[in-house]
Amino acid sequence: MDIAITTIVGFLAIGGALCVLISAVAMLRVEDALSRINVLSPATGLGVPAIVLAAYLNHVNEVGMDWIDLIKTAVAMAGFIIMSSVASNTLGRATYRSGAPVDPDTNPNELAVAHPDRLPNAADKRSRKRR
Amino acid sequence: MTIIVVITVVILTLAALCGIARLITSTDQATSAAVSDLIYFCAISIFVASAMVRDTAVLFDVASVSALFGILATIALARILTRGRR
Repeated sequence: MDIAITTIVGFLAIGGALCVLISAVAMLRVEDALSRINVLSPATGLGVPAIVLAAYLNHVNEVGMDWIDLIKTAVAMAGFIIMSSVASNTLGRATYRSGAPVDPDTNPNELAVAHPDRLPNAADKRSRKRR
Repeated sequence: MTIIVVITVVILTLAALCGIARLITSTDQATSAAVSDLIYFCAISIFVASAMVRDTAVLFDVASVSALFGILATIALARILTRGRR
């Protein structure tokens, strides 16, 4: 039983760390800032929750089951998945609107279609028209 | 268990170093925000992984609080990128 738990903990911890490393290497390889935010998702959605789950399983194996720790672990795992999704969405939108160059092959690009007046250069064009 | 923790921490440190290398070679602010997120998650993961061999009482508190409030830094960076516009 102890070996089984250790194997599961090792698989989760090292696998989670590899997810983070893959995200970091992908961040080195992609070309534009929007893609760099996108490639962070495996780390925040899979890697870090796996490491937290590994720590909880190790804690249960050594100390024993505790409901409070289980709730904290569930909150942490759900928080990492939900909050990082919202955060990367917000950061990606802000990146796009701040005028960072986007890969020309980006498709679909619904922000450009839905809000052409909100693009960073559109405000300059409007002010020029008023003059 | 110590070997697992050492391998995990080494991999996570490599990931953080990759992020720092990207930070040095990049020129735009959005990349800095993405890399800061990566290093934040690496730091939390290194703490959680290293707590498996150390006896600490705040392991799950740190994990849950950082999961819930880590979004604030990212939102703040997003607002900085758009110069305060929503």
